[in-house]
Amino acid sequence: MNQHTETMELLREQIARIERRSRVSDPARHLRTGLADVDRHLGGGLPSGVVHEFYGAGSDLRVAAKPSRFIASILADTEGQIVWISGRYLDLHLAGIRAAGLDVGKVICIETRPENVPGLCEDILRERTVEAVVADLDVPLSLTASRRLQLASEAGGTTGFLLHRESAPPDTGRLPPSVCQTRWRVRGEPCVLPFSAPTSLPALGPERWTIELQRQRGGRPAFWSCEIPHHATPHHLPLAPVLAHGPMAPAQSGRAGRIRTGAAYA
Amino acid sequence: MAAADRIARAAGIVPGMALTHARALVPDLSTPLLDADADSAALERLAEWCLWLSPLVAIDPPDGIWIDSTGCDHLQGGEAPMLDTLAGRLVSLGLTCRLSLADTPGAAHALARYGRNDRIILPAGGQGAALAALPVGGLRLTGQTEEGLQRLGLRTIGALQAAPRAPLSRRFGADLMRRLDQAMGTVFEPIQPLRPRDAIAPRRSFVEPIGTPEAIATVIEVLVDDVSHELVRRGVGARLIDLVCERVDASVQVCRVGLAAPAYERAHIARLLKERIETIEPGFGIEAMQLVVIRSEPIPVDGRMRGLLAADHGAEDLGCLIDRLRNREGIEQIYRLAEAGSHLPERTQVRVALPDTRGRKANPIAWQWSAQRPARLFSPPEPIQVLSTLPADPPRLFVWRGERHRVRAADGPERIHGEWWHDADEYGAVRDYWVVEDDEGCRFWLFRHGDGAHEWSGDLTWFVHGVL
Repeated sequence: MNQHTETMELLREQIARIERRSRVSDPARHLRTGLADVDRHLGGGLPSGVVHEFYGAGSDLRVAAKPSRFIASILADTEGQIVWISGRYLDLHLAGIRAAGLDVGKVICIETRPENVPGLCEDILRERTVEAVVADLDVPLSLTASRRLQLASEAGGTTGFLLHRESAPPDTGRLPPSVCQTRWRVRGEPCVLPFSAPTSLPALGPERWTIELQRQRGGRPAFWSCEIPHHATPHHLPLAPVLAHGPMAPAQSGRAGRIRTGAAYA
Repeated sequence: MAAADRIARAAGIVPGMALTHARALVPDLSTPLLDADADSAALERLAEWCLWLSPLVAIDPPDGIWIDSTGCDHLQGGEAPMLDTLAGRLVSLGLTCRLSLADTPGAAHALARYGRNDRIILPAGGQGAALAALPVGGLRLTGQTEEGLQRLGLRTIGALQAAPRAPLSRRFGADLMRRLDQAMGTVFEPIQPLRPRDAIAPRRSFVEPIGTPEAIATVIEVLVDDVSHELVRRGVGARLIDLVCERVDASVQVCRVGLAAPAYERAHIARLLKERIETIEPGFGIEAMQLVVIRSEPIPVDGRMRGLLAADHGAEDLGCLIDRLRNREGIEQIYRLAEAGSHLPERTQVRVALPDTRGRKANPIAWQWSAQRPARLFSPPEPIQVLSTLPADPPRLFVWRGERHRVRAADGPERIHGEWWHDADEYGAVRDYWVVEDDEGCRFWLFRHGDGAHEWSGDLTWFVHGVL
């Protein structure tokens, strides 16, 4: 009997997926970012079974270290396997990824050729056994390619994370349009310096980030400023819990772009 | 007269002669009747006997045997001693033989039959020059083609090579040029190795030739069903499987899948094969299909069987996924990261091949870094140009990737010593790591070779090892 209900459930889910009704707000189908305000804005977290885009800014644009850490902290709570694809040498650093909360034991790393990345990504997104796919992109995706990824992700119920590295536009430019559910830019801001003697080089204050939700399908863009204190306990999510209770309350703006970051602290 | 031994040849009897002619030459000639079936059975037995030399032995009917000796010659002390041993053993069996060793089966075939000596070792890549003087008969052509070439005056392989290809292909069909390319090595020719008599190789032939992917998928399911039953009965798992499709035009298509770990699960094997359907060219139709388990291994009792009983489907699915990824073209590396137990950032991690058959235990020492580490590590570290610095301090101004960065705050140093137990040169070497922030708020993980005071500890060059 029990098995029958399970089968029915599975079938219903499959039909819903065919009808592309996966947009229903189901808290179980969200990945929590760990930032209370961000989760509230997104209605429970990043929706799973769709594709999200990330890129960095400034000197971090081509390295994308901050977006990588952000993705790792989002994926920290997930149970299943995560596949990380790169079109060249994959430069993930175990210690840094672990510090962001992600258990490297569940990350499968794949290196391939740059032209194979979108196709491979699409294939793996169709796998139900995989929880999420992270792809380092070195060439910009066409609109068609991003739509294919989105459809594959919906079909498999796997969440896709596209990380623009070499493909990211310069600071003044814009990413080409895509059909991804959300687009994020993670940028470092100058920290607040602690008091120190004026002659020597001052010590670092807590790290400050601006997390910008540039666009969201069916939702409003926004951005948040947050601080990550220095010595977060190791083997914890330094990003997530700290950001939520950071001294600078994450501020949310109605329209990104009109209000400057500094306004959040006024 | 189909064949004659040495004594008969000495008496002037050659194959192709009429029996009456031969009897006239040697009245008491012993003439057993030709039994082609017994001959091919004997050839097969001889091929099986050759398995002592190499595991890959194939029959080259009607009178030859191919032995793929790649990687086997050193066991006999080199190529020439290997042929000597082989010839010695064959002679002791009462056989005469001609041996040749070449890069391609086609070249070996031609040299063994038409070569000048009865033992030839061709150096790698030497088939072009060696075959040029041989007659075209060495190319395994049909009698008609060979006759046609003779009529055109193309008697040697060299002449055939020099002739324009297109008109010849048009006249004699693509087979001629394919044989030539196979002998020269420009086209790879697989040999069909002997299979053990108890190999699992179910075969299905069809009433009507099939050609659609759906039909092929259905046959794959049926064949995999048989294979999986047999594998379970024997308690082994397949590691390498060939799907052999015999086409109406008598050509054979083989698609091969490998498995990362021995597997017998029906769904897994079927899925791997079905992903390869698109590589099969049915042509005018496939009239028979065979699934051959080339290599099988016993299934480890502790791991997978128990996992199956406990219905531990997660691990199974993961194995499945990794197999499918491995069989895809284009993946260059697939691995996990694991801790290596070191302080030097580039040595803190190792790549572990998937699936992890060694059952690596988690490192008992939990490595902890109280200082920050970047999520992406530059490999190798990128040198920077330092424009202004004080001896004990990080740089105030540096150039990285062509851009100038002014440092407004810094944390450090974190000193990491060279690991002299790995390499004597690292004794005394020091790296001082700093986290610095530039005016735009970007944080860099910099290090300096040397402690800034002693010459022996490093040459005071600065590098960026990552971005935080």
